[in-house]
Amino acid sequence: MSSQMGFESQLPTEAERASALHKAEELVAEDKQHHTRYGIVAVWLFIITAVEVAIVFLPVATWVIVVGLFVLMAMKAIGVAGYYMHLKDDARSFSYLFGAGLFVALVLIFAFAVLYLVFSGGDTELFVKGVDSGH
Amino acid sequence: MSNEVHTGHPPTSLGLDMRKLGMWTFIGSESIFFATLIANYFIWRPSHEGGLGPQHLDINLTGAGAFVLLMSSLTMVLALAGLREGNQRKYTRNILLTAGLGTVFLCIQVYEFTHFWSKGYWLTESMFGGSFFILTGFHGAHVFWGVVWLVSLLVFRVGRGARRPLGFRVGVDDKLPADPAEATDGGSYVSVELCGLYWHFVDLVWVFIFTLIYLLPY
Amino acid sequence: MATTTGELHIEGLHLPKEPPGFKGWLLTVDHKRIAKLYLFTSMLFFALGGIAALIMRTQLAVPDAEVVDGQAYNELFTMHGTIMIFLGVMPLNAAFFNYLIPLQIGARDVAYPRLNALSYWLFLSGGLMLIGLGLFVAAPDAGWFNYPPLSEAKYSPHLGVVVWLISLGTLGVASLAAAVNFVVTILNMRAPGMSFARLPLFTWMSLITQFLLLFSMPPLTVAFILLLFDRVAGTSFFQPSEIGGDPVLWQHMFWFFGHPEVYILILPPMGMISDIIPTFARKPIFGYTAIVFSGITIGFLGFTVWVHHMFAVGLGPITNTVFAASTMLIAIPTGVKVLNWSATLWNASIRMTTPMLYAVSFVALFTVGGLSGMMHASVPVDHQHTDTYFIVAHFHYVLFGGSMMGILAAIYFWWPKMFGKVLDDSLGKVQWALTFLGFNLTFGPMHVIGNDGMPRRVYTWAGGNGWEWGNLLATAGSYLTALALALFVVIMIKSMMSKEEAPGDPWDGATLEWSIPSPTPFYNFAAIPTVSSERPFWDAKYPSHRATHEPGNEETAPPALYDKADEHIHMPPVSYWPLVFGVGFTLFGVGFVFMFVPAIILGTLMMLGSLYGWSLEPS
Repeated sequence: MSSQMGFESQLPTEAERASALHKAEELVAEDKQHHTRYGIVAVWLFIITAVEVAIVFLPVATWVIVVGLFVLMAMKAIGVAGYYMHLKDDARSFSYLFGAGLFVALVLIFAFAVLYLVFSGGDTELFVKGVDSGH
Repeated sequence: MSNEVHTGHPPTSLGLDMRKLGMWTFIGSESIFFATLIANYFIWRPSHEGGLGPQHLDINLTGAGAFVLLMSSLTMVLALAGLREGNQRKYTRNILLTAGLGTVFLCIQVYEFTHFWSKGYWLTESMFGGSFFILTGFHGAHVFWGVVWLVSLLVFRVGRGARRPLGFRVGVDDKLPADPAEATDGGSYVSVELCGLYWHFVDLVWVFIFTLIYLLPY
Repeated sequence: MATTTGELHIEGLHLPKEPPGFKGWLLTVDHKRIAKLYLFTSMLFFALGGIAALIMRTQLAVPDAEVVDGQAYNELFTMHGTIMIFLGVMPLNAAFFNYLIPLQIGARDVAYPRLNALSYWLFLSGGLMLIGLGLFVAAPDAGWFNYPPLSEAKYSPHLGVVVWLISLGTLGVASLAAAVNFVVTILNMRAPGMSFARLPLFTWMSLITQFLLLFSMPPLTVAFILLLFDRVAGTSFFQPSEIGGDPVLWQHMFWFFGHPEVYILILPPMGMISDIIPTFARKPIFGYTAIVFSGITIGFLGFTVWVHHMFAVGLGPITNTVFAASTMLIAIPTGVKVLNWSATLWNASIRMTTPMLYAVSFVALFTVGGLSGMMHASVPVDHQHTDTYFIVAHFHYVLFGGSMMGILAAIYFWWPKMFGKVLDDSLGKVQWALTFLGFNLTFGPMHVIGNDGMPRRVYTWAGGNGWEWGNLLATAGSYLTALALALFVVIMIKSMMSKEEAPGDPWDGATLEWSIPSPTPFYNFAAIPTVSSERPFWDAKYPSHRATHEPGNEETAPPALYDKADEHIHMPPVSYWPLVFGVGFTLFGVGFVFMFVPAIILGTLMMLGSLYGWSLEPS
């Protein structure tokens, strides 16, 4: 909200107001299309969540479920970020900013997971007491 | 989108709204905050003997919570659409719904926490418990402040004046409002949009938490 | 064609005036005033950190000294490190972010002026909490890195560690807010024509630094939260217990932040000297693009090396090797920069002013520090170096010989622009010589005694190991350095009291800030400039020598730098809210230290209230 130029000189003229109103009405029409889109995305999000809960109980190999969950999770994330947060229609810079953060986030999780779950990142056997050996 | 219409703001180098740019930068950073908490959870996931463990998690209840939060994202985006169309009832109704659904989610979380606590599973009985409560607790805190923000939008009448499609004025009448920003296209629409971005982000984090914390252990 | 805004005559243009008096400073949202607040506040804190160092060096001058005991010594080195990093170099960098970024990109302020003010108040709050509570309640004494289990309640039952956690948490919020601010400013408020390829190098390095801050601080925040829960709620994330717990996890989280942090400390000074060296070499910087990309690469790779601070922890050969390799990789972009600075100096007609002396010594001393760093990138070598004075020598060469030399260069260089006065150059050269001598005398010998096995973080040492001369020299050097910095204070005071006014462009600079009067007017630019190269002011001054490497520039005359006048300049007004929020945050923080619930609640309410006031206030 930094209005660095004087406001008084920026008052819209009649012509500008008319064109602005026209433009706004165009945007509203565009919005109506988006409405149906929001509805569809919502339905998909519900379906995907239901599927997620369901496949956990399926008698399939663990790795299949895990991969499936990751894929479904990613789809939901793209749905929310892309459509609800308007990333798909908005300026690319927003996606880059978010993407950069997301990238570092994933690297962090991956690095810590490897360090701890593969290499046992701590040095002593005190590290993970009470590990369920059959898990 | 928001700077196509003559706004009185100086031209920006990327043509983007300042506050949105800031919110996305913040969201990028906050993602890493939650990622660290999630990583911490993963490290301690195997240590659950004697305390809270994955077998105690109720995915039906929290699945309902996930639905609730997803629905609240829908109402949020509809509220924004209502504001854009100049439809006060739609805007207000959906903001209230979003806040309401957020509150329902919080109630589910509180129930879950007190349920565990009453069974003697708290922060200190197992590492799983400690990391679980801190992760979901901070998420819940984010939801809480989101609800406060939503309610504040209504209490402080942000966007209340919009009676026609947002093109150039959000004042109640044609008098020049005191705040130059309110007289432009951007003003209150972006304020609500910022709240929406924050809300969707909180929902997004739950999408990750629900899958990784509740479903994966199975 | 107007070269400077001074030459521009704008009819009827109302030039806004600076808000007057003490209130004008207290409620300021002006980036220049905030920069000056950062500058002098951090100098004060730096002096305190320096006093801690002097006491430490006095204690270590001879074996078996009894100047301070072990507990006091632990508090001293903890406070010294914490203050110098978080209340010294970081806010000094912030002073320059604040002052220069809007000027270098041709803007009148930052994206969020009130948030900017808040960052300063939170910095002050964190600093006062650390030092105030440290002096009068309980000083942190577990090192600036605060490793558990030492920092857990069992081994540090006093409040010192909590003071450290809360103060640094506050500083973290300040830095994060500033990072968001500067990212948006640099992305969205550049003058027309200023593409990313034309950004001054200081602004470029600062942009990278802001991203490092944004992405490295959150894991630190999480680590602090988990440690606080350990201490207060009885969890055991970082201490071994029946249910589990791992002290090394803290190290991972801390250094995931800690390593990018050192790039946060060094990249801005690298940017500073990248703008200073070409000015006094009277040549454009050699390899602008290479410097930018190496900066980006350093920023990126900085996230991949953190375990090199943990080589002696016992993570195993595979982990150690991976991170040793990534650490060695970082030498490449760093080397690229050093080569580019050197190439700029090659065959140049150099004007050896004080800022240039500092800038050139930055290159030399930072290289020395970088080389010692590369030595302990090798794991077996590090096993000998770790926890010895060799490491202390390394990081002081990069942090003092690097960052501080760069910052001192920047102070000498941009002082005329900030205050409209020059810093005495002849006296400055003497001051430089004393600093250079003192610094090398202090930290040079540490390489030798470190290599010979003298451990760090010991409050006393036994004779007979051959460390006597090294320690004596180091202590003598520390006193000399203190003298040199005291002389710097004298030079600053002398300049403020002098009547001699500095011109707008005392150094024949190339970037936009030199095209406006000194001291900078409140509104920065009477007219927003149009930029057509990465040396906009130079091109305007010397059109026949302008940058022609950009396509299309060869034949056409460049557009005037100052052409379009603004009809009205609106500067953001002063505001109470950042101060109120800052006070609320302090209440919250101090309340947390003592677990005093009313203060926590009151602080929260104040912050909430000020957020409402803030958002409803017209800007």
